[in-house]
Amino acid sequence: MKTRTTRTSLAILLSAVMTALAACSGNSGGGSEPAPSTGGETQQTTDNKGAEAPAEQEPAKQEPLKISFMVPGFDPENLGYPDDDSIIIKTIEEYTNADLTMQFVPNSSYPDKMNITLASGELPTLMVTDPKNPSFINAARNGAFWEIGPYLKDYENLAQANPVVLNNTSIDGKLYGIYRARTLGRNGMTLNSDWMKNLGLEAPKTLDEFYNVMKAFSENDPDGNGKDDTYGIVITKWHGPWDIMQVWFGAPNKWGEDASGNLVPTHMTPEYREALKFFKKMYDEKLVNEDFAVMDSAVWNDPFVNGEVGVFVDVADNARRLDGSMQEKYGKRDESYTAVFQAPVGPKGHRDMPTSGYNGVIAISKSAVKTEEELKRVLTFLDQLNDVEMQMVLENGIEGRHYNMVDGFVVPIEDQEAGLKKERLSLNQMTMYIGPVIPTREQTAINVMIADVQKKNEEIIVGNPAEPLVSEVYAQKGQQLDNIINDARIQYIVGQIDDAGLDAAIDLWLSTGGQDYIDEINKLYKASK
Amino acid sequence: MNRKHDSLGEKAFDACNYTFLALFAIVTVLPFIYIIAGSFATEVELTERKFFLFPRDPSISAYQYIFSTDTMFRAMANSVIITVFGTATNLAFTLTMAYSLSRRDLLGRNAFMNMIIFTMLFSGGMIPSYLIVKELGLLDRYAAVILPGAISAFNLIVIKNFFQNLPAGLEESARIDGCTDLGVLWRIVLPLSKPIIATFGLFYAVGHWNNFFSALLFLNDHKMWPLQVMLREIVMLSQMAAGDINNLDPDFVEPPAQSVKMAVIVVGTVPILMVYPFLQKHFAKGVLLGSIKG
Repeated sequence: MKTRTTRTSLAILLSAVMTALAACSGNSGGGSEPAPSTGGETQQTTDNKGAEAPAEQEPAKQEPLKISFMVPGFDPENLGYPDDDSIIIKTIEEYTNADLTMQFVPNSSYPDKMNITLASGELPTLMVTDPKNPSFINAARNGAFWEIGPYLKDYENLAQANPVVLNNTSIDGKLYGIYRARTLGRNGMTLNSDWMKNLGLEAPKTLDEFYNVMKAFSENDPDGNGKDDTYGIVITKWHGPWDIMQVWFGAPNKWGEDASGNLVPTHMTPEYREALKFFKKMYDEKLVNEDFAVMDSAVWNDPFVNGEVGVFVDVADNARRLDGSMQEKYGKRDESYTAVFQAPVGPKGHRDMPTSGYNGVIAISKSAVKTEEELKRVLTFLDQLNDVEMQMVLENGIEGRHYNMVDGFVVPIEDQEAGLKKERLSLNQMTMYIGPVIPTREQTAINVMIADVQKKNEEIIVGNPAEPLVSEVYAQKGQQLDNIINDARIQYIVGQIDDAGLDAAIDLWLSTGGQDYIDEINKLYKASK
Repeated sequence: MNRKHDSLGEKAFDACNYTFLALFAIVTVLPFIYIIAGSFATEVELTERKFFLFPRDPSISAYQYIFSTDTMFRAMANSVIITVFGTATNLAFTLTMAYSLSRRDLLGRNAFMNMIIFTMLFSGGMIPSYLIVKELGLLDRYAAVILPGAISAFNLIVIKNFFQNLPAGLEESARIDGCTDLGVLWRIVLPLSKPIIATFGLFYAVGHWNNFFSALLFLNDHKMWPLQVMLREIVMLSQMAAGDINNLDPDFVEPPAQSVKMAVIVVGTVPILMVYPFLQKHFAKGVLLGSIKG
């Protein structure tokens, strides 16, 4: 057995040398000719030099580690993605001694592309993936990815990963990828600060005050134009705000424990009903836009920017974007047009819905990384990406070219030409934000407020106990189940159905597979304890 | 159009028809005009005004912006390459195969037809197709987008039936004059089939132009992507702009300027619209079959 492996590795080594000779230029396949098969032919993507060929190696610097990296691409303005010889990728390659081949996949098609990549059996070295994706879970269970849990402690930055999030991203208690951290307590309540001043309102601390603010914005002519042309809160067909607000009322975040320690879905709790009654009142009193169920979320910000509405429940950082648009529209000023606050305190105390704390994980494939030695090199590469220098480059670009440092804060260079924007596009998808914290954006009034809200939120967020559980039923029927509940909620709010109708919808949910889902989640929950 | 005996009923019927069709045309054209107008408008105007057909102060800054990198030009070139070569391939294969199948003296004709119909009803699906393309070594080549689906079974059958309806006498007389099989196809059948060639050529061309999915699956190299991949990205991103918070980390992804979005849509749609006028005359012309003296 032993001899066989050395033989194979020798063969691979030989072919690696051959391809290196044949490839001549090493990296950056030119313009139109096909790139050397991204994530294909393992001989090319692996590099056995470091591992098991001590004999013919000079003690010089190691060969650059060949890494292909598949990330979701966001290219909202069609600038195109950075080429493999662009300045930032070169910077990363020098710092990490890697030969990096990026593979961008438009975010909207990422799941499809991931499925076929998994099916083809030839994976890139690294790929960003949703750890809850059924095909990824299958592939991981079948050994397509390295289990990296035991290794993390050996790496300076990766060792600092948050155990809760690690647990949330695990599959059957094992870790197949390093999560990309996101702010956990990200949500907030954004208000129009001018309107608050005009009406002499304070930040709403309780649900009653929250209601009063919406009521005042709707009826007391907050913009002082003498017309009844404003309303309280804007919501679109995206159901996020309802989910957030029902947690304020004490409804659990997706799943909650009942008295006997079993998990119950949020829509079967009495608190959920209370929240829906409040939403219905909001709708009946015209505090929320009537067309919320069909409004396109692409224009969600517009009514707020145009001064038709004064409350916005979403991620706190949207306050910055709203302020930015309003600065442009009504004239620049130092004072922010928006103010952002924590959730109001509800009957069950101060609660808010967290985000999951991560956005996808970076998984290391076994088809490209054959040995433990190589795995360690790849992990070193990922660890280095979390160094301050690399985080800065990935997040902000090159100093003096894409941003400037002012008093220790990052100030992006405004209105960059497209070519410079393109150099940074989607590269931040590689970052994990684990370990050292990098300098933040300049401390404008609104940025300070956002940071403050998100920091304080960490104490009041309500976790979802079922987060790490992998449900088969949900993988098959989740979409359908969610639709039943979301539709019923909308119908209840607009008065199409009453409590009996809501009960009927919940019964339908149970009979469509909801009961199996509950049973399965509880079984998994008991097993995981 | 100059009919003499229009009764009142007929006139009313015509009036209704014209009104309905005019309304229908307006409904389909207006959104497009709005997109074109929006692409020439400023950001402020787009947030303020819900709908307009003429921008207040026209600017071409959105177009300057999207053409300031070479990405758009490259994507357009890719689209044109795929459409031109793709359509040529489609027509070459479909016409030759349809003609062979239209001949009653072809051996095993029914067996072939059954195989073709089978592919219409059952397909392997995405993953098997991907594996085939991969094993054939076509990944990251334009051929991967062009060759699979080079013949559309449905189009093939329609064209075959058309060929079968050509009068047999034509072919016979050509043969008597000493024409070969290929000669008959080239000199007799194809010239008579211009309308149908134009029609299906257009179908194929529009299909290629609008196809983003196979490019996404088979082309890993983003330099080879056609325009539609870009277009779709913009549309999808703006649809999810507010939802899906975990993904659209705002510090990560600046939502696109509305006018830039519209400019991209215009650039992506106008070229293929230009093809229509050139093929118009073929659609209008009937098939000339008066070449046989009975």
